[in-house]
Amino acid sequence: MKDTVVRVSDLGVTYAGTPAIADLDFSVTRGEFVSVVGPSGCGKSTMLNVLSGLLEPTYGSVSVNGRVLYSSGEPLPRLGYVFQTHRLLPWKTVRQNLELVLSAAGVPRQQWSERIERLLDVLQISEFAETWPMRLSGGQRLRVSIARALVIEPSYILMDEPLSTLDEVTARTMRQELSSIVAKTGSTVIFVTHSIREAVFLADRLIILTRGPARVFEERIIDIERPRLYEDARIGQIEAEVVEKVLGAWGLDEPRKEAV
Amino acid sequence: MSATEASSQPMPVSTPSRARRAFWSGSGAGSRWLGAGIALALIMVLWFFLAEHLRPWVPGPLQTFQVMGRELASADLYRDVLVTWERLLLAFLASTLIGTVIGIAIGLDKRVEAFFQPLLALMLAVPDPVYIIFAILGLGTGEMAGLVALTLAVMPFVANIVRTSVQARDTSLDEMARVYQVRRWRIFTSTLLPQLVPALITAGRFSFALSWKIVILVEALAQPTGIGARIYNDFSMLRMSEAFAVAIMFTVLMQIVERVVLRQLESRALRWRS
Amino acid sequence: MMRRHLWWSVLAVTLLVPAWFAGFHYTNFVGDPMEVAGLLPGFLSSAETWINVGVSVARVFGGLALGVAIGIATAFAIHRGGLVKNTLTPYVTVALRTPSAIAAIVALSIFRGAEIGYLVVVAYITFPYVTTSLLEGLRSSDRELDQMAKIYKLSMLSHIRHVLAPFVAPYIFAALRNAHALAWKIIVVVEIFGAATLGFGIQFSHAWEYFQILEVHLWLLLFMAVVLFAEYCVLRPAERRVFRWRDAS
Repeated sequence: MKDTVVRVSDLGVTYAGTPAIADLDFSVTRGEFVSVVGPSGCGKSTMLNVLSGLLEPTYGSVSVNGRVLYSSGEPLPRLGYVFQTHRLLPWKTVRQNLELVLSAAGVPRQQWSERIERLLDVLQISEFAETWPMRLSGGQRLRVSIARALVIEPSYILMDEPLSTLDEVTARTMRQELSSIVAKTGSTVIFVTHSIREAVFLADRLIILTRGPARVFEERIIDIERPRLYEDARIGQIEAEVVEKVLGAWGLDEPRKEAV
Repeated sequence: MSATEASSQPMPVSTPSRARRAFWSGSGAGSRWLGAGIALALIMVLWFFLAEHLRPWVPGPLQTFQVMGRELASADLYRDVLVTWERLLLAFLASTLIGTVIGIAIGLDKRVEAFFQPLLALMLAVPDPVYIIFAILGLGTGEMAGLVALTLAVMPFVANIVRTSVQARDTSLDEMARVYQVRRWRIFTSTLLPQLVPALITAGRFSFALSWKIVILVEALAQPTGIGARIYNDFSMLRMSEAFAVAIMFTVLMQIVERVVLRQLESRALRWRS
Repeated sequence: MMRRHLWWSVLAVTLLVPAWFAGFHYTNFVGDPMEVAGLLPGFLSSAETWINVGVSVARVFGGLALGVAIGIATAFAIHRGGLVKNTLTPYVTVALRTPSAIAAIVALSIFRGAEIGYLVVVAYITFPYVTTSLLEGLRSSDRELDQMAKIYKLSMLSHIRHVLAPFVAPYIFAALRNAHALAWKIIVVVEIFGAATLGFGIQFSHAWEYFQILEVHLWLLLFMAVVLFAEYCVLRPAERRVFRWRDAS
C-alpha cells in the first residue's frame, strides 16, 4: 500500500461564476517529486492556493496524511513553500528567517540549532548564516528559501516556479542541486513550472493539466535513473513527446486570429 | 503570474451591488459625507459634554454660536480681520519671495546647499515665540517686528520646499541648454522657471497656510490689534465663548480662502500645462 | 549632502561666532557673546535649569509617544476603509491644519495647565503626521510577505512583531522626525500661553518680560542644543540601527 501524503479528490474551485479548477484529481506519495505543468491561466495558481491552505475549494477535498484540509478542528499540516520571489524577511538574517518558521511550526527550541546548521550545510550556505538577505545573490536567496521550507520538516513542499527569476547559469546549477537535495532529504514535493523540460528533468512523475478550468490531462512517470543530466537525450525526447501532445490540448496549434 | 499573486486579484462584482460596495468600502461620495457628518456630530457631543462639566472654562456650544452671530454683525470683527489679513499678506509675500530665492540658490549649487543647510536647520529649531521676542527687542513693538518675526519663521520652510523641487528638476535640460550655448539668463527663464512653477505654487500654498497660523501667534503675543490679539485677550480674560467663537470663524475663513481663492489662482497659473 | 561639501557646512557654523559678535556690536538686541559665555557655566550647572529642561523634554516625548500610538491606531483603522475611514479622516485633516495658538488655547481651556494637557496637545498636533505617513506605508504593503507568513503559520502576534512592524517602521520614523520638531514648537507655545511654572516656554517668557536679554540667549542656546541633540543623537541613530539591513551590496 503506497504511502499517500497528498490526496486531491475531485477538486473544484469557482470564482464569481467562473470555474478555475474542475474535477482535479491526483495524489502524491511520500518522497515523490511531482512536477505540474499547464498553460498560462489554467489554474495552477489557484491549485497552489488551495494546497497551501489559503483558499477553500468550492467542492471536492484535499487531504494530507489522511486529514482533510479546511475541515474545522483539523490542525493544519506542516508545509514548506518555495516562492517565485524569495519572500525572505529582509530585516532578519538568514538564521533568524529560519528560526521564525521553526517557532511558528512549534518545533522545540533545543532542536533549532542542529536543524539550521545541518540544512545550511546541505545547501552550502553556512557562511551566510548571519547575513541579511539583501546582501545575497538571487541563487543564494533561493537556497535560503529552500532551507526555510526544509527546516521545519514539512509533510510536503510546494514550489511555485522558483527558478523562473534566475539567470540561466544560476538556474542550471540550482536545478541540479534541487534534484540532489530533494533526493537526500526524501522530501515530498509538488513543483509547478512552465518549462516542460525542467519539469521532466526534476520529476518522478509529471502531471499535465488541461487549459482552464484545470483538470488532469495526463500523468506520466519519468523513469530515468538519478542523478540526471539536464542535457540527457531522453529528457529531450520526453519533452518533445509531451509538447506534441499538449499542442492540441492546450489549443496552441490554432493560429491566433489577430485583432484588427 | 505566480500562484500567490493570483489570489490578490479582486473578484468581479455585478453592477447594482457595486454601488453598495462602494458605499460600505468608503469610496463613494455619499459615504464621505456621512463620515464627515458623523465626525462632526461626535465632536459636538464631546463639546457639549466638556462644556457641561468644565464650565466656565469650556464655553457651551450654543453660547459660542450666539456669540458668533453677534460678532458677525459687529464692525469690530471685520476691522480685526482686515488688520490680520494685511499682515498675513505682507508676511506671506516676503517669506515666499525670500524663501524662493534662497531655495533656488541652494538647490542649484551643492556648495551653497552645504553652506546654508546648517543655518536653515538652526532656524527651524528656533521656536516661533523666540523670533517674536528678538524681533520686538530689536524693532520695538511696531508692525515691523511682527512682520520680521513671521518672515523668519516661515522662510526656512519655503526654502526647503523650493530646494527639493529645484533638485528634482530635469537636469538634462540644463545640459541641453549649455550645449546650445544659451545665455545664462535665458537658461534660467526658459528651462528652469517653467519647471519650478508647480513647486512655487505648492510652496506658496504651504507658505500661506503656515503664515496665517503664525500670524495669530504673533498677534497673540505681541500686537494690540488683529484676530490673534483678540483671541488671546479674550482667553486671558476668560471670555471663553468669545475666544472660541472668533477662533472658529477665522479658521473657517482661512480654510475657505485656501481652498477657493488659492485653487483658482493655481489653476490659472497652471493653465499652460493642459 | 556629500562629504566634500561638509567643509562649507563647517564654515557656515564657524561663521556664526563672528556673526554673533557683529550682531552684538551693531544692534541693541543681540547680547554680548563674551558675557553669555561667562554666564554659561553657572547656568548649566544649576539644578533649576535642568529641572526646566527635564519638564519640557518629558512633555515633548510623552506627547510624542501618545501621538505615535494614536497615529498608528488611526492609520490601521483608516486602512480598513469603509465608514470608519470616512469618519476618522476629517479628524486627521483638521488636526493637521490646526494653528498652534488655537490648539494651545483649547487644550488649556480643557485641561487648565495640568500635565496631561501638554501631552494631549502634542499628541493632537503630531498624530496626523504619523497617520499620514503610516497609511502610505500600509497602502504599499507587501502582500507577498503577508502570504508567506500565513503559509508558514505565523501567529497573529508573530506576524505583527516580525513582519508588519519592521515593514512600517521606516514610515513611522519619517513621520517622527517632522513630528518631533513640531512637538517642540507647540510645547513652547502652550507653556507660554498657560503660564506654566516650569519649562522652556515660561523661562523665555519670564526672561522677556523682565528684559533679561542674556537669559533669553542662554535659554535659546540650551533649547537649540537639546532639540538638535534629540534629533541627531537620539532619533537619527535609532533610525539607523533599525535599518541596518537596508544596505544592499
